[in-house]
Amino acid sequence: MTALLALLAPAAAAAPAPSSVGATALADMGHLAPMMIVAVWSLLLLAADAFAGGGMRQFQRRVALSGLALAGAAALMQFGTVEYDAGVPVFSGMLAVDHFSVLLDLGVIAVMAGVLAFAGDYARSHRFEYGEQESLVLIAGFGMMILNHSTDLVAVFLGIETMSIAIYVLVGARWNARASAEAAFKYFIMGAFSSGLLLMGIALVYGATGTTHLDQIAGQVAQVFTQWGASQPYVDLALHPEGAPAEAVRHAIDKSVMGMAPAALFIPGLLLLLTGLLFKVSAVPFHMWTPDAYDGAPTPTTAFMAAGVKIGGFAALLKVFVGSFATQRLATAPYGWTSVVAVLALATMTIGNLAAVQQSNVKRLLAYSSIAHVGYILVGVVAAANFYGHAFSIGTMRAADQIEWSRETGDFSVAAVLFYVLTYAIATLGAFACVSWYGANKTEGTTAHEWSGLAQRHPGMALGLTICLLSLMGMPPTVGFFGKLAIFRAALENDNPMMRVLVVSALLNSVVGAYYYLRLVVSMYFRPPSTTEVPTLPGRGARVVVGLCAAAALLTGILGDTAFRRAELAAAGFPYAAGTERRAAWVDKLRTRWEDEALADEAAAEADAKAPANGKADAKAPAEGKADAKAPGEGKADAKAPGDAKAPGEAKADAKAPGDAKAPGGDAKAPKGDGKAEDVKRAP
Amino acid sequence: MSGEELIFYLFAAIAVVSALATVSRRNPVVAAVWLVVTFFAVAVCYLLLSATFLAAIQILVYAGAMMVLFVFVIMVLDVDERGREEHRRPTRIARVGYYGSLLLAGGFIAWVLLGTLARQYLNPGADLSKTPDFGTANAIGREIFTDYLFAFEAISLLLLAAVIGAVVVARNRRDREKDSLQTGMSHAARHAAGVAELPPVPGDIAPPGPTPVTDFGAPSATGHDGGT
Amino acid sequence: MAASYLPALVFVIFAVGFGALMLGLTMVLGPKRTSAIKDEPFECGSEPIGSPRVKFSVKFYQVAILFLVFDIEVAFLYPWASLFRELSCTGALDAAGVCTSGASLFGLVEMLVFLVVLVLALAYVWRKRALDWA
Repeated sequence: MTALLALLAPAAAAAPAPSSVGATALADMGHLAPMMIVAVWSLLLLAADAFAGGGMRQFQRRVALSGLALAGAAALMQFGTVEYDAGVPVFSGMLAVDHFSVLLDLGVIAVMAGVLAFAGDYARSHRFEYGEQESLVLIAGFGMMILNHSTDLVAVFLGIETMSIAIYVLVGARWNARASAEAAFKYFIMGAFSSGLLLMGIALVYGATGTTHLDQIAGQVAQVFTQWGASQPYVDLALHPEGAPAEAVRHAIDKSVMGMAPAALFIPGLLLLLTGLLFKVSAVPFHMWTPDAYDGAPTPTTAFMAAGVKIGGFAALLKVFVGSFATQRLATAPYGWTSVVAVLALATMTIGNLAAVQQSNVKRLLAYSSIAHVGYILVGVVAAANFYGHAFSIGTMRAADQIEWSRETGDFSVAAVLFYVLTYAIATLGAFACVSWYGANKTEGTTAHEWSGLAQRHPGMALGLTICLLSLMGMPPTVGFFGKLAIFRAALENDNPMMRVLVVSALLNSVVGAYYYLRLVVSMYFRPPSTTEVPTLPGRGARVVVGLCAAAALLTGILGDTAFRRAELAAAGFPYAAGTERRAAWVDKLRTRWEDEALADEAAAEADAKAPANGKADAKAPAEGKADAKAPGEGKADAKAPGDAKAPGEAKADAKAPGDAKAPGGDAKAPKGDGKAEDVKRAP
Repeated sequence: MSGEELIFYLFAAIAVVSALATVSRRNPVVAAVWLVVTFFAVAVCYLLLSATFLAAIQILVYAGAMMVLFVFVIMVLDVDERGREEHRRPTRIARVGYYGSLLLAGGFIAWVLLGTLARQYLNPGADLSKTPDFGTANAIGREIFTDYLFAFEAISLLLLAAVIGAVVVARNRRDREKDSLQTGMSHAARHAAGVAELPPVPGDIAPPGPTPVTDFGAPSATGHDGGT
Repeated sequence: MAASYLPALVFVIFAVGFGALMLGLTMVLGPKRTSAIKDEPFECGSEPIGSPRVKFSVKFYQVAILFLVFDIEVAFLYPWASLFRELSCTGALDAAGVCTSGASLFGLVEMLVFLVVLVLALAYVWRKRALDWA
């Protein structure tokens, strides 16, 4: 509030010297290097399309992928470094760069690269090729990255709009199919409506708190709601004034109304914000547009919506709701917003799965399955908010260690959400890449019977798709299993019947999900091939993406703990404001603990090395060792990559890197050699 | 109540009433005109709240450019007048839903209003409008070009995406219009048929609803083209 | 502060009132003789067929939305121009609005970045022949 006042004060008095902003702007852009690269590349690609026209189209994919490789390399160099442990607020606190945002950036970059690898082939084959595609994907990705970094509601809105507008165009770009126009129309109307709700929510929250900055809102909210909590005796007195002196009663009434006044304006704002964001991630009951939009859109765009928009949407949801609105009474059950979201999560996964069972169109099936996955992810969001909310509970006088425990489990829940979103993005990207690949020359093989016997004609693709579907289903060797496990663990840490209900229903839903995923797998493997042969997409792009996504789903699954540690690092100290001492100390504490754990593990492994019984630990150690061997060279290899004009395959290897980059990123949990390297890095 | 407040509440009431008229008119052109009234009334409210720059932008961008766009969109879409007249009687459930949601919306608005009043009277902030250059282009610029620098630059990319969207989407339509030109239909017939239909593509869904009907009836054989 | 807009209000009231007065007077004073032929809509001397509301070409819409985008751009240019002196000064301006400290390129560069993107948009629109009417 005072900051806001200072900003609006007359120029001579307190205006910040603009040039000081200019001086830091350059450094800020350096922190945001991946984003800046994406933005610049989108401009380059548009200029190339405008001035070179059709001549550039074959070349555009390579340019785009090399740009994404560069952005990915920049993000990889940021991820895991101590510099970003506490987060760096940039551009006057509009955005922040921390491990959370960088990890999600990596996810967005990987998704963009995966989509662009076959989007051009798809458009060419279906006769609606247009030169703006690459540029639009990058602009949408830029919007998602804004969401990943946002620490201000203005940035949240800006990110959502940038992302959405580019995607409306991508959805409607297929001019030779009416379904595409219909999908774009529906998505646009619903999206514009939800943006409006979001904006109204932002306005009301601003009205209640006097700021749009998320950390300041968090402070205000904590104050208001703990004030409300603290004035509970006043509320009691106001409601039951029997025998109390009139003066005290009046005072109590004043106090209790005062405490609730800002809340009266804040809560509608919160509900509108929640509605707006749930629209974007397509949670029930705001999911109506999803099947039609996903079905009608060109399939590469569908892949982008199912993977990329979810990353950006959940980044915003986490930032706003878990990072800023998670205080006791406001968030925690039974009266907080988590109860609402818990019900919606239950409805989302159930309706998504039950609807998916009835689909005979593979695209719609995956669309409903993506809705179901939103339900699972929301369970993690609810868990995180509940934990952080309890950490804020000043009224109940919790012990310090309990508060710390709440924070740690909250971090774990956020890590679970991050992990789930990213692994879901990989698997769903692979699945939609396969759907894009199956069909060419204006025919699309989307009806389920066209998929029967696929394994006989295209064994490789059938295998790739199967792995992706198993990951979506949550089958143990794949990463989807660890994602679900993490979410369920986070939820069950909560001593709360609501969470237990959620976990049980999520388990039941997973069984329903297994039914329709396996039905597709069975029809691919054990049914005779359909009589009409569906042509497949020319070009390697889609096949490479399916292969890489399947490999990533398997590899990250095998390296489950190591991969999850990256998500934990990204989520460490999530609700603390970026760049604060408290956050730095918190992350440092966690890092130290992980290192100790790693050393202890290693000692145990060495001690047990001779014992034949522990085959599992043995098997795991070499794998990790290999990943680490890659780590030191990682930055260099990536930086070099974009220089040479890349063969598509190579570009994709790079693009996919973030998928399992969580493995080579290199930090505490890793064995000794890497631990040391990390120590060197940590020295200031 | 001072004169200024009186004018404020007068225009606020005009804004609300004309907004209601906007959403309740059947004829889209009439609705658009009511929307202009809303925009102007809101602009006056901005002025009275000392947000002068915002008021000017409101007139220029919303009442000016945005309205032109709306009117063009209405004309491009050519909402069929006859279709609007034929309304089925809503079912009981639809009516319950309609009034229920109206009630909900009314309750929500009342809640927000109460919250605003509570905030205003119980916990008023400083009156920012008393600062000398509040609401001027300078004050807003100082925010945009320093603290909101990133948002300002990112908006250029957002606008770029909007431009690309306009070109891509309209190009699709223009290609189809050109297609119909090549099939040798008359001007009026093309109007009558709307955008030329492309041959159906496998995997396409059927066009929703009946084919567009206009008052032209069958394509005119005389080639009369509506008086241009 | 709002009192300074009183002339504008008076002007609006006068304009609306004058228009209403004129219309009202013609309604009251003007002679009215109607016939079926007179009430018929007039259309270039030929018999009118159908609704005057014909479907417009999408070109109109395209031009309108492009105008809107560049209109918003100009909305940003205006405060920038009025603040330019302050933005290109390393320190705060003194009371007379004179920059006593050094010059800074900040103000220029930030708008340049913004404009480069939108000039690219314009170049794109132009190259894609979206501004051609044919």
